[in-house]
Amino acid sequence: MTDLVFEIVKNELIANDIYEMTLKTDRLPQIFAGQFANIKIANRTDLILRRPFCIYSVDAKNNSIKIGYALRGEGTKALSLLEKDQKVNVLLPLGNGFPQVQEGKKILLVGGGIGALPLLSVAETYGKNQIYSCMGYKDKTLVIKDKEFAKLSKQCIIATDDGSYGEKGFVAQVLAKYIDKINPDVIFACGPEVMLKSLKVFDKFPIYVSLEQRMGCGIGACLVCSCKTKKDDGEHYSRVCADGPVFKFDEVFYD
Amino acid sequence: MTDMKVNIAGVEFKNPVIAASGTYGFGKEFEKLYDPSVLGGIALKGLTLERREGNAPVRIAETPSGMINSVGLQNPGVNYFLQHDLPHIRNFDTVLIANINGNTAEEYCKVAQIMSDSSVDMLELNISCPNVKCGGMAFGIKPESVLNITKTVKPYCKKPLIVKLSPNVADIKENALAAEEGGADAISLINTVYGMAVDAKTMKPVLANIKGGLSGPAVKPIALRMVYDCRSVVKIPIIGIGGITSGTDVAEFMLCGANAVQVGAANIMNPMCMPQIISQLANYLTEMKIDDINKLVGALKV
Repeated sequence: MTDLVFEIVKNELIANDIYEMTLKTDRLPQIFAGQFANIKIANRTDLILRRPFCIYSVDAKNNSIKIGYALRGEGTKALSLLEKDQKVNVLLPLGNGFPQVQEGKKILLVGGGIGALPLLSVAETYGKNQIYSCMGYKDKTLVIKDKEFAKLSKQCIIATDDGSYGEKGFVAQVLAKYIDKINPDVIFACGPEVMLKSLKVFDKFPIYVSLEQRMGCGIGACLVCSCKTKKDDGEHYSRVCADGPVFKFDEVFYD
Repeated sequence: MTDMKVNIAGVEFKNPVIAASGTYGFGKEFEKLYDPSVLGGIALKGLTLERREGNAPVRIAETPSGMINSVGLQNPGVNYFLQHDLPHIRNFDTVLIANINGNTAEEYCKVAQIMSDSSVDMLELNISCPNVKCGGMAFGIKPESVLNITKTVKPYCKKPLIVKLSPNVADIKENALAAEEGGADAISLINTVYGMAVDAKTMKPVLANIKGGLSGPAVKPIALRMVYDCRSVVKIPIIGIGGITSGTDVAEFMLCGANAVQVGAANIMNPMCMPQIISQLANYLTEMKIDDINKLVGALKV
């Protein structure tokens, strides 16, 4: 991990209240799928904490990365106001990304809302021969990266809660119709907690989930971004930033 | 270059910039970014006799120029620390300060005794943590209780004892005097300011624990005032803490009477901050033509 100055290349709206920011630096370190960056919001001394975002796309040739964010509070609002050529401090790469998967093994990506983004880094890493994806969104105004998932997946299923785009229903309901035919070797998931929990019905397959939590340092020192995990010696609070953000499903959802 | 060495209760620090307890872990995470040996010292994450899991998340809330935490002393316990962490971090060429905690006076004494027999250099008695149900701040609010706990723990300390004071008190001068009378070799202040953050949209507190400790630049003026007040009454060294993010912030605390400082929230804001603060402090001293950093202590022109 290293703290680098990045320059904003693009900062644009890609869906209802969802932004994509492209950033470049002089020399980008190696980044694995599912890792994240902790970003200082430029020009705002009142917003003292950095904001963690998954690095969902890496362009090693141009030393650039992409992050995405939904407008939620002061921090993301301030971030959305930053313009091209402005500089930001970025600490990266952080956390343990998704586990490495052997060539030929089938990876099923299950995303909910903006949780689709970390999974795009997996699709970019492994490509069409190994990737199946099922992405759920609230409605069509919140659909993101559907074309990218379609391009990078052998099969891509899109669902919306209200049926305004793709199939109608929650992602687990829609996926239930397809999963046995896909018969994945592993499932990688990211999204709201309620959506992640709904994947319990698929737990005959190994499932890994990427979590989020209000975060401090991002490097594992301050112990604020905890999540309860079940280990061999009992329940503990793990650090989402340093022990995660990717965890085994049954390590974090066990009751 | 200006001499940055300071001496607190017989322990020499290569510079007055110490990492504050709870913001620096045991230093291992920061080691991936820079060599912690550049620091004056590290006040290690608070330790208890037994492992503690801490409070439920959410444990952090951002507030204007500040942050409120409610970690609740999550730590692996003294024995685990001695076996798994201390042997490695003892290799850092810096002063190691064990931050000791307990639910009861007996526990404080036991932890003080165990850590005294280890290779740490100093002990910091944490009687000011607002995030635990027992112990913590309960021992640190009333001057009589500060006196009692300091007096009780002191005989178990074979290393110099720093008493870390809470700002959530009637008159911090009284508490500083009580610590001094109880046998403290130094005091550190301030711990976090007891506070709250509310989310009007969800109509809920941001922290699962409802209340927590405020730190960061927002508390600096309070901390400066309290250091200044304590300097006027105690003779023992003072370690100033509260919202330090730059070399000039360090100078401000020293001018108010601090012999050294601790940097807390800034480590969370910017993990590279401490080496930057140290070099900014060196530049300040050069610019101000100050040849010995100790000349800054209490030099505020009032």
